[in-house]
Amino acid sequence: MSFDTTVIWQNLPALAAGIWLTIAIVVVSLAIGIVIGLLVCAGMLLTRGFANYMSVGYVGLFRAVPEPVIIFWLYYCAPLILNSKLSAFETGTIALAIPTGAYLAEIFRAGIQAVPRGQFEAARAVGLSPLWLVWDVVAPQALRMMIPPMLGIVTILIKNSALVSAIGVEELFYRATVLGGQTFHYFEFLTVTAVIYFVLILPLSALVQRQERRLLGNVW
Amino acid sequence: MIVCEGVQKFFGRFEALKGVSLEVARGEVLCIIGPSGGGKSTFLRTINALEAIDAGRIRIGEINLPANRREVLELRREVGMVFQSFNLFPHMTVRRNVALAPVRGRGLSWQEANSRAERLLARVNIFDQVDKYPSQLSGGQQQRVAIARALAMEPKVLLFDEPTSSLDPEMVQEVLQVIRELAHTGITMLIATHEMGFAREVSDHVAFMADGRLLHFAPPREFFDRPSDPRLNAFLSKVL
Repeated sequence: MSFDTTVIWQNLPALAAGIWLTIAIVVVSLAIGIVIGLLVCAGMLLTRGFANYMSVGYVGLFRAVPEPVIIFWLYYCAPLILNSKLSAFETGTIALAIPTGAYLAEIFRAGIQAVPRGQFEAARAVGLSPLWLVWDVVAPQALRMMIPPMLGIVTILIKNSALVSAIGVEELFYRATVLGGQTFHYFEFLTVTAVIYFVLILPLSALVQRQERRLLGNVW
Repeated sequence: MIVCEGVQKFFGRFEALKGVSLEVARGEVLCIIGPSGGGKSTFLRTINALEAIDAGRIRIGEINLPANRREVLELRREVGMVFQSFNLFPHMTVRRNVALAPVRGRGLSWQEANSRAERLLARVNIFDQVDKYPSQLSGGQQQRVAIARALAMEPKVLLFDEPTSSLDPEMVQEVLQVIRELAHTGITMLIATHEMGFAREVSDHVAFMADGRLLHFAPPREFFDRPSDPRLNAFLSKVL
């Protein structure tokens, strides 16, 4: 059993391209997920009736369906209904954004509801308009509480991005398996890939710990 | 300055205010006393529209309630409120807590608002704490900051919702002293309080509220020395 580093160096450009695509998937699906999360959160907090049921239903549904099912469903079934086919990258990012939006909506809702009622009342009592109330008083306090769980969501998203390899998106994990198969050096490529994911996620974990310490210390 | 007629408020099926009518003249100080749950807080909160009224009318200066959103915003800029639990913004310095509303609501620059904030904080004897955060202050200091925050909009009316009820006993006087000084400045004040001595001393009128009704309304001497209402008698005999 030997660890052949040369095969890694030779294929570094291909792996690097995979890393960039993984990052692109995470960034794009996170951006879409935040938009979905904000809309669904607004639906849960601000509306009654249909939009509220839709929002609650969205969260309930997509927290319960496994990510691979969403990915495959969008890739194989959605085109039958929509009569058009998205690229594997587009399908993958949207499929990851859908459950991310559901999780983020819950985090946003919990963060906003954790701001004490007295803060809303004080902001209204000094005559802040609704926009300034959110900007100056609610958002800074809610965001601070949202940061640790949001970083957790990003961590999960980075790991789940490997799932879209199943529909042929050439991200990091896909490249590792293909290069492993081509060179019969699975051991090297999968080990290096594991380390790369770890390194991508490491700073986020450190941030979570720092932020949680700050929350406990209650220092602004 | 303030005219209330038949103000009613329901929380679900519970009637918190059962038709309250009263008038407060410009510059007057009205203390409202009475048992907890009797409607004092709810009544104060209807005056700056934190609670919408279900029946009746309230006129504050030029503004009539119920009103549309724009009028309510204007009303709140003219009517300051001090809460039992301070409700300072924990993520802002003391200075910014006070300066925020004039910048957002009156179009002051931060520079102008900061100097106004510092002037007001000096007035409530807290000038040396301007750069601290609320959590670094004592309860009495926090409540004085809250008073400065309410004053920063230069309101015509100030509402105090049991301003000393959540303070440690040794901090009650420093807050009452600040309110006492304001009473002589011509600002109209409505104060829900359990501090009977204070009410007697600063009020132009004292009101007794219980069960969502205004049961007695009189100048302080008459109110405390010759209470004619049996429920007020019973209440005073318990608290005095």
